[in-house]
Amino acid sequence: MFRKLVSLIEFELRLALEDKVVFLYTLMFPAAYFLVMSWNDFAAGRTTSNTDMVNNLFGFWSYIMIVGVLNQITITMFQMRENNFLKMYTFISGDKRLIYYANLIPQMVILQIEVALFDLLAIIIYRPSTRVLSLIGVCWLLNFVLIPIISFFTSIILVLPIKSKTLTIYLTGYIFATLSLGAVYFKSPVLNTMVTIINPVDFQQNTYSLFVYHPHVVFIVLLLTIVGVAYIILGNVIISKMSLASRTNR
Amino acid sequence: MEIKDFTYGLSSGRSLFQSLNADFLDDKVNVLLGPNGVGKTTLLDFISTVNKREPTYFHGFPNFARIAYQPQSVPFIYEATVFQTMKMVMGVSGFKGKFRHTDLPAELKTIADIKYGELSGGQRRLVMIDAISRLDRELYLFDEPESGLDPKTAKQVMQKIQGINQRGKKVIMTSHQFQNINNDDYHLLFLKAGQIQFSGSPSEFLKKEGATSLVDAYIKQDQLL
Repeated sequence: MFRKLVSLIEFELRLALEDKVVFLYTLMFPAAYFLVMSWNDFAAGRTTSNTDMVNNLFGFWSYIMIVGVLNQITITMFQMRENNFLKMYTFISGDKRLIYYANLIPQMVILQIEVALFDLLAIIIYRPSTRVLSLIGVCWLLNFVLIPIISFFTSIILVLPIKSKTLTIYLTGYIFATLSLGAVYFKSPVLNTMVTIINPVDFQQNTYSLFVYHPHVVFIVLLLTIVGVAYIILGNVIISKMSLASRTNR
Repeated sequence: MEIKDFTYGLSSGRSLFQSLNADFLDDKVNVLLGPNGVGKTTLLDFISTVNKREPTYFHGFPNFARIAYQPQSVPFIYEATVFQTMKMVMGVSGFKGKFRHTDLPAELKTIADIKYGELSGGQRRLVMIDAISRLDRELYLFDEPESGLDPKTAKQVMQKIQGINQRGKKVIMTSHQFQNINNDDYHLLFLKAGQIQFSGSPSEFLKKEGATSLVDAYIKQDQLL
């Protein structure tokens, strides 16, 4: 099994690195926007506090992650099913989950490269304190856990009755909704719990926040653990049970 | 391997199979024939377990892990070269050792370093059939394997498929081509109106329809219903 996975990962990683367009949406665009935003602050003579820096970084990381996971992992699986790649590869490898992980692992490496490059830019511009610098490092390491969980979160898309031609419409709405919801601060613990359960961006930001400040740290650690484990299980069940047959003509 | 009394309809309400019965022979290449839209691919999807295969109707078929299935379209990654693709397939299928250019068959060596997306439809199909035929499985399913191929390549493909059967493996394929299935190494099953209307050897098919070629026999059979 491991040998099969390595063969697939080696193949997928080489191809993924050849495809430079992925860096456009999840690195070049956010980096360009970050530069414009920083230039505006500089021109207006505004200084960026540690809190602002952290909040800005959380927002950019959330964007990179949700767009990257959706475009490079979940939608790739969706398209692989629609064009029969999944059927073919599953019959060759004997297990759908191998195909999923062979896609997830190289894309996680790519996303982490993108986040690292973005962080490097942020460090050059912000010249952050040691504390913020450590936070950037810790959050980057956390992404190795968060990327698979976010990916499992979004794997629900794979069992929804969505056709290829309408997929981009739903996705645009989904990205807008997750990022908007992630930007809203809920004072109510009940609402905060709800959005953490349903929104991967809130889940991600709450996890990062653990290393900044959180008033209910025990509760939030418990919540994040339960939600994270639930999505890992759910994601794996969805992937192993998802149909190999294309939905295009259904 | 046999299918007994299998009934199935599409979600649109259209009935596809009505009490379908079919016998597949282990020592022959089984060829599903029939007009477009009669459900040949759907039947392969059931046999392969892509669609849920009920044991009540399907008897003697191996499980998912023992099946190799070539879908009708040619799904490989366009940016990968033929060699990279074959190397990946061999790695995934459990090939031990290092896969080299010299391990490719003669017909693929000349195109080994060409990207899959730059190959013609026929060359792509050839790569896929070669990849599938290298897998060690009990049952091989091919959906129109020689479709879109020139006569020489089509013959190569059919020889490869026959070679799989001669290795003691079971083979079921669909086809609309007759030039390479005209000997009694093949077991024909003519599907129409939800049922197998004829099953037997090519010579039996010719005799039954009183035809001199399989194409004529096919057209006669098709016009009956």
